[in-house]
Amino acid sequence: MPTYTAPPFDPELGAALDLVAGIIPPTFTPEMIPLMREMPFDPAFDELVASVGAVHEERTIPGCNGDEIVVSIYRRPGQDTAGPGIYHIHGGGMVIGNRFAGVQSFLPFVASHGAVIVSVEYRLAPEFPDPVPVEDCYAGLVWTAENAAELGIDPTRIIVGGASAGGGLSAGVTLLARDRQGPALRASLLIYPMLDDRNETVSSHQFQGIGVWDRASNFTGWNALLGDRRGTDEVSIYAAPARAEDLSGLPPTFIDVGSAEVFRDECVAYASQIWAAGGTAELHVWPGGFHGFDGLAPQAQVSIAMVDTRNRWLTRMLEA
Amino acid sequence: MKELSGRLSALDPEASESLKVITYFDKLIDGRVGAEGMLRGAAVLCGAPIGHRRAGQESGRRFAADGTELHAGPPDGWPSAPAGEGSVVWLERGDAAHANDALVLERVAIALSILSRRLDTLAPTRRAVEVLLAGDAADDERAEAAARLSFGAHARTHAMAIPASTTLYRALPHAMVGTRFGIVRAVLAPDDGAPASRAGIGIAARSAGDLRESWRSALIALRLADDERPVMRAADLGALLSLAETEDQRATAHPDAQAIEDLATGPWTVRMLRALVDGASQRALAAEAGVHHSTMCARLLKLPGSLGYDPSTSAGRTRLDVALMLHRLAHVRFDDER
Repeated sequence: MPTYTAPPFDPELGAALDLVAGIIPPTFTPEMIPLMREMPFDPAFDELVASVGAVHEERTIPGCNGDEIVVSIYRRPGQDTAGPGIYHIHGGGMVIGNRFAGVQSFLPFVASHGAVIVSVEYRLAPEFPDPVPVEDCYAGLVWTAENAAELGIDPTRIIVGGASAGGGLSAGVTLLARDRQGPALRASLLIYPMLDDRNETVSSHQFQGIGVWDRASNFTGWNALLGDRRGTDEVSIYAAPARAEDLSGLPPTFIDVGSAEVFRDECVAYASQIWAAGGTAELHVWPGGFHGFDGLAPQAQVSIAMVDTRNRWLTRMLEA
Repeated sequence: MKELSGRLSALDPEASESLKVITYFDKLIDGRVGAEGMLRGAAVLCGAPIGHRRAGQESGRRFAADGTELHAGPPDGWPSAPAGEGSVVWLERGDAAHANDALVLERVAIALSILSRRLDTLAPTRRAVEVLLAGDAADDERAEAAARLSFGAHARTHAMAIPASTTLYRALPHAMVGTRFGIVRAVLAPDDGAPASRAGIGIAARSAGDLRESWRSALIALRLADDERPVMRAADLGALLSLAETEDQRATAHPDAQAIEDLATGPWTVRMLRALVDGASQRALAAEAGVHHSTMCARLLKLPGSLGYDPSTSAGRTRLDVALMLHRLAHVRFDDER
């Protein structure tokens, strides 16, 4: 059993992490799922929606197997020219979170680009194991593309994206869209995505009991999603995109990740595989970043750089 | 994620929790985080804007409670703390102060001052100058300072004194030094060329140990510099330097210097006595004083009685010249110099 030395946290991030040590434990166990689902609604959320001139609308649509799921739509009222579509999939380790978490980062594009954001309330594991989450997400994407005209979305500029589990599901949905011949995607945004159920990379061993979303947390998430199938050959590439042998034929893909998190190596490998297949990928590995650092410590200079870099790429994709 | 917002202010000041404030900034210092990171962090973690103004600036950088940079502004009225090298950091808490505000301000100020010292490449040189000119430095400190300034590389070194407000002509090791006569800038140079428009240049020092003597002579030379002779070299004083040094040790002014002081309360000015020594005519002195030359004639006749000697003789003139020098040495303040 080799010993693993983890890269140090960026000093600003490390100092911030120490301050919330009591609130955010490094390890997330299955028993913590019910409590963690009771996440308070961001009190500034509605104000932010209004500040970008957006209105919120909910629709009930068919999900996996035709079951009803909800999507939230954020757009300018009376959207008359088609703008880019941002199909958002929230994070939360496959087991927690809701469609409102993470939308904040994309709302400014409503004001700047006339974007329409569709955020999907996919059903969570372990109550709804694989393939429900990824199929709910795919169904929502199909619905978005089919209703593009009515939603005010330019069908040639639909981007799928999300963070953490939402990044993993975005990668899975991107593969499904490729293999099922649609919908056509302009780009795929994978923010520190959760791609590999096997938990065998060096980085997945380096973070145990430290940082955010450590090795044990990763087992919690993947076990909830896959149960006994986790780590076996019974796992599809849509559930765990790291298992895909062929990453050709994908839209331009953006991946960012911290060097000090479990997902580092699977993210680097995923980008490398896209290039190996002759594809387009942009990869940023931010030194000393723990999982989700830009959300926890947005004032840190490495967070500012990360968000800025991501938004510049997104702007390039949305503008043409 | 709003976990960090206002976190430092929310910590219980009564508990060990407030140690986290200290730990937070210590980590930023150890991690070599710059001023911007410290200020953004402080603003987010306090939940209030933070400002930082460097020395000599009207307004400083300000960061909002969400970490974004605001327009520059002054610290006026907000609770503030000195953050080293004349800079100041402040906290713009609109409502009542939070329990940890003072602690946060203190810690961010300490962090910033440590940073400014660390980035101040001149500081070690400045300290070396201070050590070499100080009377109470230990021998090993002195040796280290001499090594830092490459003593021994120059055959001779001159200590120089220049007014604090004067700009150096060339890059030389320097430091601000407090003296009996006010704040003055000490400069060390490998030659006796003028370092600034106004300077007192000390006698040559052949070793680091001789520098204190060179410095004392530089202070004497600067006190004797004036608009006529803005750059004075102690070496040019000849034997008068020994006299000046001896008189500097006296607790009270020499009676001859005191006599000048007493005279200066009457119709005579130091400037006119100076002119007299320099051989000005009775007519020129009268014009200078704005009086009829007969009035000046009467004043000159009274002068030996007031001084206790006759300045119209050559011995008397020398004595008056020296008395004027001692008077100047005793009364000049560096802060008055412009």
